[in-house]
Amino acid sequence: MLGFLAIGLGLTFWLAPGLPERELPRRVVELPSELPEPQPIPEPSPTLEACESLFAVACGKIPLLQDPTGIVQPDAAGEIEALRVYETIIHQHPDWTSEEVDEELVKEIYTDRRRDRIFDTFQWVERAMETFLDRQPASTIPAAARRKLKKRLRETQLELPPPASVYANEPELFTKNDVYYSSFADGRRVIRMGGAYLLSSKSFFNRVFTIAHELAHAIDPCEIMPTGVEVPSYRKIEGCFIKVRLVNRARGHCSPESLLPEVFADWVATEITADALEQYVSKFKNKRERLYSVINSVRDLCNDEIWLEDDLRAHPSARDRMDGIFAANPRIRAILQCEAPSRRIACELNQESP
Amino acid sequence: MKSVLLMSAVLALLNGCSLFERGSSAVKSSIEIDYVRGQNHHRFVAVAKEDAAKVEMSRDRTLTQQANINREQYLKLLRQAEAVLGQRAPAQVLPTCRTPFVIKVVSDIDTRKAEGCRSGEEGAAVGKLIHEAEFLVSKD
Repeated sequence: MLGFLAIGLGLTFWLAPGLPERELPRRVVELPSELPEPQPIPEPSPTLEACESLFAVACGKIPLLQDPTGIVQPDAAGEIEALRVYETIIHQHPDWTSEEVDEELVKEIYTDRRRDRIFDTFQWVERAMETFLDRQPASTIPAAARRKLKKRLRETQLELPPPASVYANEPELFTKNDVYYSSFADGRRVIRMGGAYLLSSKSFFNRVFTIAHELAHAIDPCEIMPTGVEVPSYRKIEGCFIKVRLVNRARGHCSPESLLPEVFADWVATEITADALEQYVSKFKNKRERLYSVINSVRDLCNDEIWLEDDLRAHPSARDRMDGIFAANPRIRAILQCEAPSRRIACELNQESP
Repeated sequence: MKSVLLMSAVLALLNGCSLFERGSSAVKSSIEIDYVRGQNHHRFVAVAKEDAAKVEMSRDRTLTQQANINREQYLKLLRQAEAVLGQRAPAQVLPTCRTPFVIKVVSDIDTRKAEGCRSGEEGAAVGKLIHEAEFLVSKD
């Protein structure tokens, strides 16, 4: 684990031009100073193994992977780097207030280049999700429901600093890796992104999956339940999720303990990420680039809430998310060039019985 | 000794401040905040000990920051935590709340706990408390 963090930290310095070198702040957890070079995974066995279990390959002891669009560092590396920036600003300006430090912090982390990259991906994902809805037949998503779902997507805003006041009620988000969807009592729907995520994830495919997952919450079955929007196929796919044991019926339909929203969001994000990978497939030079791109899409899902009691976990297990949803999708398997279908059953929007 | 502590506890309750605030070095006092946001589980813990307090922040069980802060700094955080607990009808965790939190203040007298949603007003107070601690830890 520490070696993994060390690699991430080393590559952060290597791949993030403009960040000045600085001494290790005393308050930040220390990491080993030696950073081993990233090693490529030999072909072809990893692809076969990924077809068997993407989770086993992606969450095993493998180094950082460079796909054609970038890398995905461990979450902790991004947060430690963000805290370094924060501490450096404080030490350079010891008389500044917390608010002044925050304004400088968001300028350093949420640069124009990083913001543009995120906004571009968000707009791409939003268009891809509308196209996804348009692809569904009227029997799956009736026209009236489709219009309302698309409207909910368009009305969801991506909020990024500066200024720091954009995250006035969550100022600690600047140094965190969290990307999340939230709806407020006044009807606003937003997606927010921690500063550490901008530092740790440079893979386009990872950004697509992450943003698509969060944007999917704007139209997930539990989020739209109070609005009266009826989508009959949602009940069907929920039935499938229950049958393949991704969702536990005993937890209740849309209770706070239900995993239905998260499973649905992963399922939609998988479809949108498949769109992105398929558009890129002609540019992959070899099997390694395909494999790394697929892995990087979901690499940061490896953190498992194993220390939490079963009924306190907010997400399905990493294995279920990767093998039960992402790598079970026939389109993802086609990109990986898997010869056999997944042993896990892939759910579809218009089909209840697997 | 027990009668002294009991009398102090009664006085503290009557005056609305903790034994730790009143300067007893033998008392227990801690603040614990757990919250989920996006894919991540965050934990903030500040444990008072004598004239200082140890602060630890972690994400998905990975420690990201730890340091000591002084007594006055801890008391400021403690008051903020108690303000969150004292807010009228802390919001219940709504079915659509994707950023739930639990805050706990432990003392020798009792353990008080509240749950809420980060998107609500009480959540804003929690965010300010954690960021204040981040600032204090990073500044020291």
